[in-house]
Amino acid sequence: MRLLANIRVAAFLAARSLLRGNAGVSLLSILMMAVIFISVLFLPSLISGAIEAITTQITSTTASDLLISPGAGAQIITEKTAYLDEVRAASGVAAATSTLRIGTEIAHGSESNAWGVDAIDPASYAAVFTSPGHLVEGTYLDPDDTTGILLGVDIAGADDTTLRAYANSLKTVHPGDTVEVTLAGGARAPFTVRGIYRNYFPLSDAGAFVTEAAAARLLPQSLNTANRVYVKAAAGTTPDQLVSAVTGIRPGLKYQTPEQLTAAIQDQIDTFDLINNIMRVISLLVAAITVFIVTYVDLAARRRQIGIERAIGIRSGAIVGSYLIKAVVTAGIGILLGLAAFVLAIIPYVAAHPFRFPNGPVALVFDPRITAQNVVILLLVALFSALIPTWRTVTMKILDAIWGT
Amino acid sequence: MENVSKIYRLGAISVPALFEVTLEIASGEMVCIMGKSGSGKSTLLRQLSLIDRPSAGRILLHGQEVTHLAERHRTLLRLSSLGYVFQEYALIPELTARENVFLPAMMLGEARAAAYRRRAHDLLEQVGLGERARHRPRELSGGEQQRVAIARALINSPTIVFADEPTANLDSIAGATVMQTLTRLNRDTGVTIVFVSHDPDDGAYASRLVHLGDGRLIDLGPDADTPAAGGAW
Repeated sequence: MRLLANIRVAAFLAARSLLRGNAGVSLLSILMMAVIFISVLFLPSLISGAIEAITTQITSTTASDLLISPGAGAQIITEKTAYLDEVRAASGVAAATSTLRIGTEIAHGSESNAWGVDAIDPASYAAVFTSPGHLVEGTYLDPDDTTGILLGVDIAGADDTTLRAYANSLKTVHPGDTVEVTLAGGARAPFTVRGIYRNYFPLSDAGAFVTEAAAARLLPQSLNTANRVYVKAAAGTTPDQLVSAVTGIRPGLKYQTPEQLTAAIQDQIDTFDLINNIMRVISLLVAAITVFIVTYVDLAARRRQIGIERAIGIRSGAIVGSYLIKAVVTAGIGILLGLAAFVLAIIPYVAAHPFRFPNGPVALVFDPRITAQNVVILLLVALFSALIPTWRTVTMKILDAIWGT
Repeated sequence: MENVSKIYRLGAISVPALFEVTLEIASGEMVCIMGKSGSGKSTLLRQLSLIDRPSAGRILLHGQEVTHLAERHRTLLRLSSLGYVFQEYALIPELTARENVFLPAMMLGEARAAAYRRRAHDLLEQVGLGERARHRPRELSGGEQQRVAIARALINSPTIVFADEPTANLDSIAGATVMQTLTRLNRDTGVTIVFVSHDPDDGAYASRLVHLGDGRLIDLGPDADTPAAGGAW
């Protein structure tokens, strides 16, 4: 009964104060909470976006959904055509392709460097990877082309001095230029550059590809062999399901999923998480201080009124409750506003104008679980920040509150 | 109250405000505590109304000692049995006149909102402010605010209403209206009223005068020999 009366009076006083009190202060508090909530959400979303970007780049330009390589001690996968056909027939496989390393160095004029040159089947490669769709100059390889080569922008240079890899690149190579490839046996062969691609991902932008037809012409002994097989999963297929589906086809091979490959950048992810946690604590501290100051100033202006309310029999619990409700409602509206701005404005804007990270364009990723967690934490912070000054005021002597001593 | 003393302590300094005051107020009386500024009359009222605690002595309400009650019990007594009218207009600015009046009833846990809202309106009618029920304090004059405060003090049907210089901040006409309102309520409802004033004219409204000087009872009022309901001090 008494608790119910306290809650009713607290809600009544809070509602009247919010609706009829100083609208400017309420609005500023709400805006402040909205900004704080956005700042709490922004960094985790950016970090999630960066991690997702790395995973996507690895999957779509470098390693696919499943990378199959020869087992321990072996260099090649033999009978690769038959093997690829069986892999493509397995459940959960959308596409599969293979590569064979045929060259180890590329030169153009006085510039040269050690880059791998892989032989591919252009059609199946394009079905697994997106690089063929990211041409910045020239054209993709034709399957019958025995003299053409496709270069990543970090190899070609393409006169783009803004490239981070420009200094180590061939610098001025464009489609139509001839480069010299040092083959696996040490022989050299000229290739005409057909196209240059750019994925904005260092691990894949330093690639060079020729056709399997070219490999068959230069290294006939390599026919029907591969160093790597790449598998693209059908929608809804998990990495584990994919591995299960293909492991029985040929024993002794090695299988790696993108998760296992990204383990190499776990330190980077851990650092992101650490930065994220530090920023979150700072944002929550700012929120706590904001609510504390707003409540404290409000209480300082109303201390006499609170003393009078207590003198006429309004219980301290009801008075404290009214301030807590005000703080939570203000924070709640601010959170809703911040969430709406984040989801409806900031995320779409960043999606249209992504951040340029070393691993490619990064958009914000909205994580409902982390958002819900932050909502709860921010509401609790608001609650406790309002409780401290309010409790202090209602535990003063009534006359001290009224007289302001 | 029996032998009540009050000493305010400001750091190392002690400021005595009341000295062993004994005073009995009977039900239905309208008592005026008079005295010069600093005589201790407001301090006396605050001890009687359980807003403050005496340094020594006892306070009894309806024969029960209430001096050392826990704050939550004192709060409940102030809410249910006592009413208080402050010198300044002590209304909550965000509430309308009617909301200010029914707030203590809401706090008492009265379940039916319609009942206390109607009672608040009736009380505002009684103090002549029925038409001003929806107005906020800033839209009311000082005298009107003081009458709203009187209505608020009466909402839980207290047995005693305390008023601390209720006319101090009002012009003479508004002050007279407030005093007439208190007198009428005392006469019509039988509620005991104890008010503080330094204006000798206000004494005319009282059934008994209590004079304070330097924290002591120093004189008897003109009606002291014939207290309205048999009380004595």
